[in-house]
This record gives sequence, structure tokens and C-alpha cells, in this order.
Amino acid sequence: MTIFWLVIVSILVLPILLFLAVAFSPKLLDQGPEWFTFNSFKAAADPYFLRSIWHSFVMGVVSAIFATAIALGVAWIVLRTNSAARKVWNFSIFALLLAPSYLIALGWERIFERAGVLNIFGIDVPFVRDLLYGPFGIAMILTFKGIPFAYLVISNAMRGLGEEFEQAVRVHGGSRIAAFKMMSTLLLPALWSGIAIVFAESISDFGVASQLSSPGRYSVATFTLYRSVMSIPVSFPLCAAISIILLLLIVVALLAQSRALRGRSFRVLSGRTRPITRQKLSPFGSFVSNASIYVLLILTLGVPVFGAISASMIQGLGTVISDYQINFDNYIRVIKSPLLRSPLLFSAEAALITATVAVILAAISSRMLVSTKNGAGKKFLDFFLLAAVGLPGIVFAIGYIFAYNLPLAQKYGFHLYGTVALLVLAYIATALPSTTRSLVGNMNQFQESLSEACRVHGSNGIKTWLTVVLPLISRPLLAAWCLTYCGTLLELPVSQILFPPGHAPLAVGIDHALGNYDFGGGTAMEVFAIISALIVVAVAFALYERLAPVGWKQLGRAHQ
Amino acid sequence: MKLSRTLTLGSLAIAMILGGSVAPAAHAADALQLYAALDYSTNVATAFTAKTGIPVSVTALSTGPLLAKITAEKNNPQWGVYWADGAEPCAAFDLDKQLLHYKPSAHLNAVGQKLAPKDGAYQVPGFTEMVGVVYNSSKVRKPTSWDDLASADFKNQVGMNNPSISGPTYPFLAGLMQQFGGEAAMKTYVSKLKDNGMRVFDKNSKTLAALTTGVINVALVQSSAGITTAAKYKAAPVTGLTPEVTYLSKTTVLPSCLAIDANASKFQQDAAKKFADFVMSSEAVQIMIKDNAGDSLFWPTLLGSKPATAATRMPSFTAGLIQVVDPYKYAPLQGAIQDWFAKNIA
Repeated sequence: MTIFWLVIVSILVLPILLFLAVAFSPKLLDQGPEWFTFNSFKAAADPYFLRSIWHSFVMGVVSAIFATAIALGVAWIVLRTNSAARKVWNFSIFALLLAPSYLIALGWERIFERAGVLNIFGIDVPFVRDLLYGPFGIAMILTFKGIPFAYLVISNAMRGLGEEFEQAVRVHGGSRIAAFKMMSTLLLPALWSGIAIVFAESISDFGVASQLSSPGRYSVATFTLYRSVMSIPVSFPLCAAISIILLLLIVVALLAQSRALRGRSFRVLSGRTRPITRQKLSPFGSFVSNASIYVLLILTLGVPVFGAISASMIQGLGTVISDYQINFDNYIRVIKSPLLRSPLLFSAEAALITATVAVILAAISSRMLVSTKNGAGKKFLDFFLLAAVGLPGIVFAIGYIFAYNLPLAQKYGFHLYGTVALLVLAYIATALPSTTRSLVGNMNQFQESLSEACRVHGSNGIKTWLTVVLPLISRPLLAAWCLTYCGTLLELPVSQILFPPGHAPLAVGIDHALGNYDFGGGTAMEVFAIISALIVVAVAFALYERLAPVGWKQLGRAHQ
Repeated sequence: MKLSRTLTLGSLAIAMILGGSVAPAAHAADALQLYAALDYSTNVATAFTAKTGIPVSVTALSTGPLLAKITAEKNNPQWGVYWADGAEPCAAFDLDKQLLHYKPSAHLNAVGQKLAPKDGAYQVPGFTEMVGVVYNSSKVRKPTSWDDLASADFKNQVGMNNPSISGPTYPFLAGLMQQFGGEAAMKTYVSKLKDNGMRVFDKNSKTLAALTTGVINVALVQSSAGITTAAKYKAAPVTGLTPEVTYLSKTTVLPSCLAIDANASKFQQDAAKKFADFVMSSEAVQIMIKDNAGDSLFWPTLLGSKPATAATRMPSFTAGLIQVVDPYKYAPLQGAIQDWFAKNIA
């Protein structure tokens, strides 16, 4: 375990702590004259900053609750019923995961903004526009963005649940609602994990904030933080103070999670978990479930796709309806340009490494988080994993500079700063929290007696893991791998600050194109990246279906 | 626990080895580290390497992330040369004693002599204007003065950049302070624009995207960005969208500035001086103006050098329409003004 902790401290704890330390001791990293001060907290206590932090907290709670509730309903429809829409959802989930939050916001803006699509058709809805540019719009889009995270966690756990427990309720005269309640209770670890991830993702999201917060004059913490980081002169002590307050909100989320799960056992995952029988829905039930899924997909995916198309294919949208032009010029230009090819390949390779390593580390971390031992270590790991996801990426990246550009480290020949290796380590650290959290639900279901029985019969640790644990969590591991790959491919804040000269990652290339007034070209690059990621996900699942042993694929399978 | 150790070590080894194999380490000690926010910087660096044999490692980002990176590296600076639009950050670095003063032996024209600091704190190879007023002439008439922009004719039509995010925008506000007679007058005027429905976007690209999608019909942006957009739609016309650029009296000069790190190694400083000499040469100017779009649309300060053909649309310095602000006077106010803007306008 020493090695594991050394890695966690190096890639996660040290950068976060050094960044936060600047709030108390600016002099420590040459960010101000004082060795110890609370001045940055006085500045952060400004009503403007406090209001934006409160707004973030509210947005985080609202989006976490709604996203998790919606994801639970969708997971039930997809995994437990014969709804025809389930196949569409399974593929769409990764597209939704990939859609950057700013693109979702952009799509909604394109429809409702002044001179937007509705305006062009003579429909003016200022009331809806005002709602969009404000807390309602921000919470709605954060909820949409949170649904795939919550869904992956909940669906993995639901697969491991089997249907014995629901059948038991029904056999004893319980209603379908009572059975659903029982299932929800057994899924509590996953539900709380989902809430925690969506909450942390929401309060650290910058895409929605940048699109809607500023025009709507509804300040949120990430936008305030970003503004502080990008301001001239930059005030990292102030950013660190705001980050510490943001982290206190994370502690609240953790406390709520631990309070809800304390003293209860959810270990239902065993070798005896049987395939479930899908509920045959009535025509009305079938209609409602299909309609729900399709409406959700239109709202969450259709609108950003429209945003991407309008940005990359339509010339002059918003000016006149009679003469706008739709063409593929931007895509053709991007294909011919080396500016796309090399960043896409570079980022794909980095995402491949990141996903593979992050999944291995996340498997260890999630096992530790659900272990009945390791009290203090578990809480320590839990806090830093959520802190990393709760802190905006740009803050995390600055922490990496503080940690790996120390003169002392370089004096002893430790030259990691400015290398691809450090960028990849930062990607891993950024991905580790959500990857771990996505596996916690499954790990919580795993019955320890299975491994213990294997060890009692003479198997060593590695063999036990490969023959007992891996088969039961192989599908969640694959889903976590895809989640990490997709998340890393278009990662911007860390890439922007840490990329080595001459090796711009994809997101930096896209940002560069957008910054050079090539809005169409930049969005076309983004669409290409999303398509490439969807292909990788499809290939990964196809390989799993083809190559994984039959037993691995049994868990969560339904009778056809 | 052996398993955890094996997995952790294995995964870390994968990350380090494969991460390293994606590309070699880039911060080689024998390359000049250029941190630049200008499109043509890579081409200039390539030409410099071809001429001198000194390799240059270019970190190309927009001004905000670049300055954040430099500030974060302050206890162990990695940059040799900083090159971006806007003199205020350089003035702030200089006041913090971070700059190596150096004077290339270039002959400057009258504007160049006005813009370059006498003590050689930084070099000014050229300048653009803040702001170019880009208006959609298919939808609104040409604005004629600053007061005109705040009139009923332009209600809900105007958009500008956020000075906290867009590097060139603070000098615009500094120019308004100088022209209107102080901080309070500038705040009153900008508040009037806000009351008239002005919208704030992140930076040039976002403000211009709002103009081309019809969200606004007047964009207050950097001249080079405005001219590029106008030229683009002139070459491929779209009915109902005819962006044109005009300038209001007065517009503020936005110098592009090149500074050398006082804390860099001797190699970095020597290479940086040679690079500064090269940038301040007619050979480099030809490379910088070659694209005839975007950042290339600047006015050179080198005696005898001509701007890119599209850049001649800028107002002449001699016509008295443009003004120079003292970065050393306005740099210390930047944080407070940006803070005010964020809380009251953005």
C-alpha cells in the first residue's frame, strides 16, 4: 500500500495542498509578501464571491438530485423493462457524456437567444430566454450533463442486483412500487455516489458558467475563479481561498453521503446473481417509457447537436432565414489541415494511456473506499478524490506547476514539468475521482467472502482478483474506461496549462481555432473528435462482447 | 496488499513510459523558451532558428493562460521571452523587477519611439487599435461617436469583451479613462452602455461570433480581429450580414510587446536578446505580416516597414484619432477596474 499512497500523494494530494496553501502563505510559492495571512479570505468574503459560491452550491444540489432521480428512472427502463428505446439509450449515453457542457448550453442559446432560431421564425419568448440565462437554465443544463455520470454508476449497480430482492417483495404481497422502493434502497450507495459525482462535477463545471452565467448575470464560483486566474494581475491566494470555501461544500456532500450509508450493508453482488427477467410493458407503459427516453435524448443530445451543426455548418444563421447556407466546408478544411490530425492523434494516445492507468488505480481506490478497514486512510482518500473533481481543472493545473516546478526538485534532477509524462499524470489525477466514484457502487455490492473463500483454498491475491473479482466487475471497468477515455480526449484546462511546447492536445487546438475567429472550423474539429471517441467506445464494447469469457458477461444480463 | 503494489507500480510505469513515449521532454535547456500569444510567433521562431541555429520552444496560448502560467512559475521561471499584445502586463512585470532591460539597435519610426520604453524594459515591434467598432451595416447605421453608441439607435445592439478574460480590453478602458478625464467618467460611460443593453462576451472571438449570429449588431473588439471578420464576409457575402469596421475618436493604441525574463539563465537571456534583435528587423516584419489576417494586421514600428495590405484601413496616427496610454500609470489600476467591471457590468 505504501506505493499506492505514494502515487496518490504525488499526483493528487501534493498539487492540491500546495495550491490551497497559497491562501494562507503566499510567500511559500512567491505569490505575495506574507508567510502567514488571512488576507485572501477577507477578499474572498466579499459579498460578490460569497454569492457566487452560494449559487454554485444551490446549482450543485439541484442538479445532483434531479440528475440522479432521472438516471434511476432511465436505468430501470433500460435494464428492467422491454422498452424498445433502451438500445438507443445505451449507445447515446457516451455521446451525451462526450458533449461538452458549453455545447449543450450553446444549443439552447441558439434556439432562444435574440435573433435565434425561434426569433427567425417570428416567435419571441423573452420569458423563456430570461429563464435560460439564469439559475433555471444553468441548473437544467447541469442536470442534463450530470445524467450520464449518475446513470453509469446506478446502472452498473442495478446490473449486480439481480431481481431476487424484488421477487421476494412481490412474493410476500408487496406492490411494484414497494419492489421499486426496495431496489432503490439497495442501490443507495450507488445513488449517493451518483449524487456526489454530479454535485462535484456541477460545482466545478465551467462550460455552462461561461455560456450562461455571465450573460445572465448569475455569478457562479467557477466563473469567478476562472476570472481570478485569468485576471491581470493574477491573484492565486484569492483563488485558493475561494477554492477552500468550495471544498467545504464538498465536505458537506461527503458528510451527507456517509450519514446516509452508515451502519448498513449493501453487499448483494455474488456469483449467484442470476439473469433478470425483463418486465413486459403494457402498450401504454411502452409508449410512456419510449417517449420519456426519446424526449430526454432530444433535450440532452438533440439540442447540442443542433448547436454544433449551427456553429459548424450554417453560414450566417441568425441574420436572415432566406439566405443562410448549409455546407461541409469547415469539415473539409479540417480534414485537409494538419492542425487537426496531430492534436487528435496525440490526445487519443494520451487518453488511451490515461484511461487504462486510471481504471487500474480506480479499482484499487474504490476497493479501499468500500473496505470496512482503513478508517482514516479511507476518509483521506475520499476527501481528496472529491476535492480533485470539485476543484476546477485550471486550479488543479496550477497546483501541478506549484508542485513540479519547485526549484528544489529540479536541483536534484527531477525534471517532470513541461513533459508529456507530467501532462498524462495530471490527466490521470483529474480522471481518477470520477472513475473511482463510478466503481464504488459495484465495489459496495461485492461480497468479500468470495475472495476470502478463494484465498482459503490456496489462491494468491493476483489469481483471486483475476478469477473472482474481475469477472464480476469487468463490465463496470469497461464502462469506467470509456468514461475516462471520453473525458480525457477533450480535456481543456489542464491541457492548456501543462502541455509541452510543440505538442498541443486536441482541446488546445480547438480553443486556438475558436480564438482565431474560426468558430466553424473549431466546432467541426470538436464534432470529429466526438465521432472518433464514439468509434473507440463502440470498438471497446464490441471487443468485450467478442473476447470476454461467457461468465464475465452473465452479470446483469436479462432473459430474452 | 501485494496485488495493490503490483497494480500501482505497473500502472505508474505504463503512464511514465508511454507518456514519455508520446513525445520527448520539451523543456530542453538548450532551447529558447518563448511564451507567445500571437499567431505569427511560431513562424518567426522558425525563421530565427534557421538564421541563428538557436532552437526555440514555443508555448502558444492566449494572453490569460500565458500570464497565469508565468505567475505560477514565479518561484522558478521557465520562460525566456514573453510576447503578446498589451503593454500593461509588461509594465506590471517591470514594476516587479522581473524584466531584463535591453535595447535592440533598431531604428524606430515616430510611433515606435513614442511606444517603446526609454529604458528598454520591453520591445514594441508593432501595434493594433482598441477598439475597432465592427457594425453590421445591413442592420444598423454607422456609429459616429462614443455618445452615439449609448443612444436609442443602438439599444440592445452593442457587445464588448470582458477585460478580465480578454487581454486587449483593459487598455480600451484605460483609453476611455484618459480621454474622458478619469476613472469615474469611464465608469459612468460604460454603465450608460450597459443600461442601453450592451452585452459582454469573453473575448474577441466570442463577441464577433455574437455579431455574426445576429445576437448583437455592433462589436467593440481589437482592430485586427474586426478587419479580419469584415474581410471574410466581403470575400464570401451573406445576405443581411455586412460587417464593416469604423473607429471612434479616439481609439487607443495597443502595442505588441516582447519582454525578456530577468531571472532566466544566461543562455536564455543571450538567446532572448538575439531573438529581440531579430523581431525588430524588417525580415521578421515580413514574416509577421504575411498572413494578411488576424494578428498580422498590425502597424510596424520599424522605420520604413509597411503594414499588411489589409491593415492600411486603420486610422492614421497623424490624423489625431488615436491616443497612447501610459502602461505604468494604468497597470496598477487594472485589478480594481476589472473587479468593478465584473461586479457591475459583466
